[in-house]
Amino acid sequence: MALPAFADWRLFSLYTVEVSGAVASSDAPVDAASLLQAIAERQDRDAFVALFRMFAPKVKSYLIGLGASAAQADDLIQDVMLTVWNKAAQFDPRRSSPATWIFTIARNRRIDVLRRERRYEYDSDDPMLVEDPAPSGFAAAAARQDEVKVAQAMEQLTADQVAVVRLAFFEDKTHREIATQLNVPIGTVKSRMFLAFEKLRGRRARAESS
Amino acid sequence: MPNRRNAAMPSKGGNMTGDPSHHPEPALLMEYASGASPEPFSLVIATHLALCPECRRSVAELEAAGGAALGKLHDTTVGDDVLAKTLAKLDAPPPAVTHKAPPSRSSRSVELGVPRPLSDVLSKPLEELHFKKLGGVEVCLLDAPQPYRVYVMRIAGGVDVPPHGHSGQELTLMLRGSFVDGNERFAEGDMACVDEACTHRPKADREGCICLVAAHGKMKMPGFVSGMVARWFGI
Repeated sequence: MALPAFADWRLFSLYTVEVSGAVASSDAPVDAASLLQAIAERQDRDAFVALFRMFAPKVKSYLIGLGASAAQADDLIQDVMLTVWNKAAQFDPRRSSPATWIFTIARNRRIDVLRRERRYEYDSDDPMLVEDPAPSGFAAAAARQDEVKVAQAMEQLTADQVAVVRLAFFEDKTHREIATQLNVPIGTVKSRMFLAFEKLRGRRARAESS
Repeated sequence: MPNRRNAAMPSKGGNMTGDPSHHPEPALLMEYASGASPEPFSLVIATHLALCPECRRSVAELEAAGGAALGKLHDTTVGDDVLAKTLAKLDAPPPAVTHKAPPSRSSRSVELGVPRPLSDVLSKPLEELHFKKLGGVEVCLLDAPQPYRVYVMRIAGGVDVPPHGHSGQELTLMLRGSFVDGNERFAEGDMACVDEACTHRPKADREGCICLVAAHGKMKMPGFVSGMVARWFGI
């Protein structure tokens, strides 16, 4: 099967603006976290439009890559961005980047609307949740992800590892389906995922020790 | 059977201290983070996450990788009409209260003695579910889309489940007590993952155990009688 255009997403880093970086059309650099804050604090529509222009084209690529038609993608983008508008106050920059937060919203809305399945999640306010023994400030810092650093870690992955990560994230494939598609044993896919996973975690371990 | 547990006070001898020793394999966590997990597996994995801070951190890492990759995707043109339609909807009141968990649902988890999301799908506390019983093994089937089976299994102290295989992947989350499978002990919060290549014979420790199981396909028990038993349980 031919790889979709974004299979070589590393190449696109040369052409796309960093999502946390400047909006090309505005005078002053605006970062996505500030836009979310403006939406949360004063329902700032200009901020929403800027955020929409920043992320909607990415979300559309994501949805189409996962098999949505252009019309479905356009409907779901409205759904995703409305969720962003309504939940902006829940965005916590200490826990995730705007791109990561919006990725999780797009992922969940797609499962709900297009796959018509339920996605189960834990509830961080659940009294039955086992608390992280790490001090809360430390845990929050460890949870905060800088997508530029993660992207650097991902660039250290081999082509094989990138392929399995891409298939998992952008084609909604389980490791079993990936094994069938790549015509390799399940164990091979698992070990590639394991190595990719270790490299991503290794990035965190280095960040913590430095 | 251990008493119902309070998360604030980990049970004596239990492993609910936020340090399970058996975790979902990385491929399963990656599928959960990417959204590829089938619904029944997401129930088991998310309930494990509630009990395992380490795996919560791993999932956050993987979601960050998803966010980074999203940011690197090429742009697909979104028509101005889509923006206009979205803007027109901003003033409509949100469909529901957007706060995460209604407090009633959280206190329900305490009442049922298991964390969310498992508490959302159980009708009664774990120990009071309507089990089908045969010998030392009891099974309570939960709703699941075909071809999955999701059930709570209670194994009496010292009893072992006859050797069996599976027609697909099977995820087991220990909720009370422990069992030994091969050379490994699985205690509260631990997850065991097996696939069709594996035949196993878990044996409950002295105090017995209760676990949540999600399986793709059916249990495969060799022998006529065992096979009948599995069919009778509906697993």
